[in-house]
Amino acid sequence: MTRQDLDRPILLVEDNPMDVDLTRRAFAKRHLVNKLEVARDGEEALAFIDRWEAGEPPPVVILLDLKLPKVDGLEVLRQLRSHQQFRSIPVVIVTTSSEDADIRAAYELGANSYIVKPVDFNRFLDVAQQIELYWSVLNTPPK
Amino acid sequence: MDRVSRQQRKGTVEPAPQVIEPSLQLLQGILDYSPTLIYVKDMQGRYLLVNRQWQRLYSEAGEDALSLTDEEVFSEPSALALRRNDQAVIDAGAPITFEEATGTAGGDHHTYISAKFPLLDDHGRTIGVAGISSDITDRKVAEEALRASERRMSLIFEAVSDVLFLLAVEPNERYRFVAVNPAFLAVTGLAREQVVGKPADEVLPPDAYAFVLPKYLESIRENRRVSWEEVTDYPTGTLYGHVSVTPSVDDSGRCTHLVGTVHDITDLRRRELEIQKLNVELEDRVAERTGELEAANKELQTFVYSVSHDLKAPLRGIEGYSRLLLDEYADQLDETGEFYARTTHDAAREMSNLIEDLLEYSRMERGPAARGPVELRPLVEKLVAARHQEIADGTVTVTVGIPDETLSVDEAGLTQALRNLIDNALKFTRGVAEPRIEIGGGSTSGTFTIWVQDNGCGFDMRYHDRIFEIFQRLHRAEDYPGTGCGLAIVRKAVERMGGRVWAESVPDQGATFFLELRR
Repeated sequence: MTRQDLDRPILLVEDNPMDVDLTRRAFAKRHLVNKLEVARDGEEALAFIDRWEAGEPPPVVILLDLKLPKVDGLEVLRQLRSHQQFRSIPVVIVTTSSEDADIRAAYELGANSYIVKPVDFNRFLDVAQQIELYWSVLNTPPK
Repeated sequence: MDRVSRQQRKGTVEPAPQVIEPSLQLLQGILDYSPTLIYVKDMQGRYLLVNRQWQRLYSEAGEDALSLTDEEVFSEPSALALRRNDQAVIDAGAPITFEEATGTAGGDHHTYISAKFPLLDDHGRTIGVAGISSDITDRKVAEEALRASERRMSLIFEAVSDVLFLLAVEPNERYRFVAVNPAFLAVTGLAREQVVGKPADEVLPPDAYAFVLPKYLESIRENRRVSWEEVTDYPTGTLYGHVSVTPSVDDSGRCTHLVGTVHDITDLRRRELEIQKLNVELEDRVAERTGELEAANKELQTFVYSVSHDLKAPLRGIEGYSRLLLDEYADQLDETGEFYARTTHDAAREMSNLIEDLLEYSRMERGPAARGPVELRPLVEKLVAARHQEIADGTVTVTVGIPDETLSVDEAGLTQALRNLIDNALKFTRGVAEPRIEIGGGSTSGTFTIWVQDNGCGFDMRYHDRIFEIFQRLHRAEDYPGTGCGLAIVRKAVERMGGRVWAESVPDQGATFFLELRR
């Protein structure tokens, strides 16, 4: 647990602008410290890898939706997990799908956690808080 | 006695004159005891002499047969025929043998073989006719019966539409056609003279002959009917035949003939083949339709699933922002504004529940049920324990009377079904003075039934089926909130593991829900 982890961003890969906004508000409401970066589709998410290679700090955790335009979430996960340098960044799937097949596929591809987005905003606040608490405070991510 | 000793005796034994006297006696004896009729008639046809057998048959009691004529003894046609024969003998001046059918006026009919010869006087003039008649009536009757029987047999042989043939069994495993019926000729397209009297190997094509030969041998060797089915190409077309051969054995046990039959089963086979073809087509069509249905069903399920998911995204917005409105702008909302925001928020929550249930239902619909051993009592106790708060809040008396039973079922499905039934019972006993829920179970030979009974508001039995349909509600949402999916999920979960559900109720006295599962 270091201060530096809190300096690193959290990457949210989410195409629904309302979800992006609600996530931002949830993080703000629970006074989360990490900066929230957003990729609006799979391609944008993969473009982030180039930026990390160029020296930008990689995220402390990636919140990845599965249903994404252009390149879907599982493909983003697959490509990230095959990346030499950034394969070990923790990935939390945050999606509407509670399908067994999706859950299994995500874990098989190396997801670290799988969260079904709650409709209830109050519960979503708890989820946001716990994500930061666990992944950016309790957990020690690789450098 | 050989020729030499006969010669010797001829040479040594002289005929003695005195044997004439006993000879007359002997002749009288022959006349008296012969079973044949012996008689002599004069030129006028008057009987001069008849033997005892003749008298027995044709004399009235005490009547003197002598000087009677045939006209007085026999019927007119018989007498006429006899007289004609007698005349023929007289004309010929030599013996003639006749077959004579006689009948008396009294209806006594006989047939005789009669040897008749002219009676000559010392001058060689014909003075009468003598006759010896052997009664062959029985033989004639038997012959006639045989002929009639043969005629009937022949008629059957000719009339039968099955192919019939008779083969003579000859030495060296050879067979010769003795008789064939018209059906044989019709089927083979052969003429009778091409078949009857010919060896089988000349009539039958070589491969057909090679095929039937072992069957013939088997029938002869085992002395029994042997049958088989064969397909033969005849000039008249392809014949599917049920063929049989039956051995005919003489008194010494030797098989002399084979009786063959061919029953034409071409139509039957054709129809069978057609039915087979139709069946295959039908199966194909069913498979095709099933495939289409499955595809359509899958598509529909996928549709329901993705719609449910996609509905959740905007719903999260409605829920989230109305919640934010209530939390952050409460002080800026008047009572009506807050009511709007709260109602919006509650509606979103309700819709969310509905979608969750719909997804659960859709999950139940998809894919086959998993099967594994499930211990029933611990499962029910766990489900009841999970609702301890609601049970305590409502001061509900819950009793569990489930025997120890392990069922091979889909655990997730059964858990979901029982949970829904318990929730249902809790919901509908709300507002009852002393709410009670009893969960019980019992087995029959092949099934295990679990029931959940409550003393809640119950339902009208007219709707006993409808309550298991999705989105069917019997109560107003404000009285008993719910999505109308709970019991539909119960039914779906139980049916996909091969069980069934039903419910019984008396309004205002309670309801019992039954789950019947295979053991």
